[in-house]
Amino acid sequence: MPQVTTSKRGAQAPNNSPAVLDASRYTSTEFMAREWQGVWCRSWLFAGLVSDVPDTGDYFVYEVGAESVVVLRDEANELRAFYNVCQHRGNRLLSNREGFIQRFTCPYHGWQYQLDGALVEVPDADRFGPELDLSARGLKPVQVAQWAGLIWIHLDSEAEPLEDYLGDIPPELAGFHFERMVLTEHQTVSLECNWKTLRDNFLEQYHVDFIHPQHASFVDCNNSTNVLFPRGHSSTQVKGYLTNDRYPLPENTPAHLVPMLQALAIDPANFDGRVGDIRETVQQRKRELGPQLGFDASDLSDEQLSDVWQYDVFPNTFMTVQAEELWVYGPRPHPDDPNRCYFDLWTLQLPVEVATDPEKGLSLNPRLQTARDAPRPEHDSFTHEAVIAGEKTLNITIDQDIFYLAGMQAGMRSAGFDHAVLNRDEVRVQHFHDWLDASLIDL
Amino acid sequence: MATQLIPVANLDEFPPNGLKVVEHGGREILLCRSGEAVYAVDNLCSHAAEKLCNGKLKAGKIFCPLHGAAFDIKTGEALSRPASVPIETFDVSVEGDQVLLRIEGMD
Repeated sequence: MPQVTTSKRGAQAPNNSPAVLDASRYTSTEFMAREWQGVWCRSWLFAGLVSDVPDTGDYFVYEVGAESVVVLRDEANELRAFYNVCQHRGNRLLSNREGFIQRFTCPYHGWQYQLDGALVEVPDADRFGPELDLSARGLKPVQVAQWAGLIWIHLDSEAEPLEDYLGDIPPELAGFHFERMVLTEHQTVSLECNWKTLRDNFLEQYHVDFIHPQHASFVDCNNSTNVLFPRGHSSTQVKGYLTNDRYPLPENTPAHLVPMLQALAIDPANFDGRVGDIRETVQQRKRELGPQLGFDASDLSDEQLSDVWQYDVFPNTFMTVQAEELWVYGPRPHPDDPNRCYFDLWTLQLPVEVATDPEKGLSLNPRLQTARDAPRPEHDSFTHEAVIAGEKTLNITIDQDIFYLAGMQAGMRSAGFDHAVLNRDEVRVQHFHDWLDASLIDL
Repeated sequence: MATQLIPVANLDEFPPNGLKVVEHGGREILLCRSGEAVYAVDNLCSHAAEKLCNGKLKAGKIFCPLHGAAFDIKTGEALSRPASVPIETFDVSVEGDQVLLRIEGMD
């Protein structure tokens, strides 16, 4: 059975009663408008990677709802973020998703701003007369902060520090050293569902046996350990290199694990009749082999070397963490349609230089294929129809989820559905919605 | 119609994801190295005639330093305002360490 614990620092949302997951919270524009004020304007949001803005003038644009925010590195080598809006008549300043500028130049009338946001050039400024005060027309700033190579923004200038917002999560994940991983894939898929329909899916493993039957042969989702943190965050730990104990233990090493063991120079046949011992052997082997390949595993526990850890940062950022790989993913709301959202997936991995030895056929994980100085992968955007048609793939697990999400949303728009009922394995779903309700309580 | 393959640069003259300007026929051509591949475009932005070599190559696009316009280095397409007119592209190939510019129809 899944285990549930709460973080020591108190995890209860300040609600009197549990949130009711009625259909309207997934379908109503009125609820969506309250979420904008209560959630998106009051939360730290994962926006992108430090590695995408290494030098002065490098920028990327982060879009959430109807907002567009520019994140850049300024002349003093500091990160800054601004609303992507010219202070003349409100035109969008930058239309690329990423790029390089020496100054902001509005493409409409050519107003120019320095990288610190100061307005420094207005063509034919004398036409405005003396009342135009350049110092009062700088770009509007947005809060920006970073942790472990990940950049976060906050639309409220009075927000608490990112470190306080994330609470216990950074210390728990410190040993993975995300900053030593490289981006290997960056995808965005447009979905025909509410952003929370997608979130709920990643907050429980009740669906895994049915939707993802392949998982039973290499992770034990039946015995996950779930932790509820303050501010609506949560985590789950799933033991890896282990089969789901709801099913009979296989006699031989499951096919999915065979190449993973071989890459670690472990003979899968050694585990005939004792498949349950694989996990511990892998932990020991990674600890021995890692330093030989150039990977410092000293900050990782044995469990962190073998298991799959998923952390959820309220409101919309998931991190699925393994020793060699990190997925950062989650939905962004559509500007005005509660029945649509955008789903981003960033895949980061250890570069091959520190985790493989091609000559000896060794690798901490056979999925690792990317060199440290490989070109940044292009940001690939597509529709959920392309995934269903098999033209695009995120990975087999998420593809399987995407397959039914539009049907979930369609069902919630039906008069035949009232509200959800949740089980013990869906406690993180409840925790998230309780905090969501708490965020809206004054609106 | 003769086709010429003209050596214009060596790979060791510019790093991966780096830029190099070469001259041919009285004009400047910008070589853009993206991973293992090399592409070539006109070195002038189609908006305000700024030299693109002073900009930056990122994710298969060259960004003009003056106003931030982006061009696709494979097709020359103008990807963002204020530029709206594409820039010319040139055929290049890599043989060994040498970058060759392919010129069609010249004597």
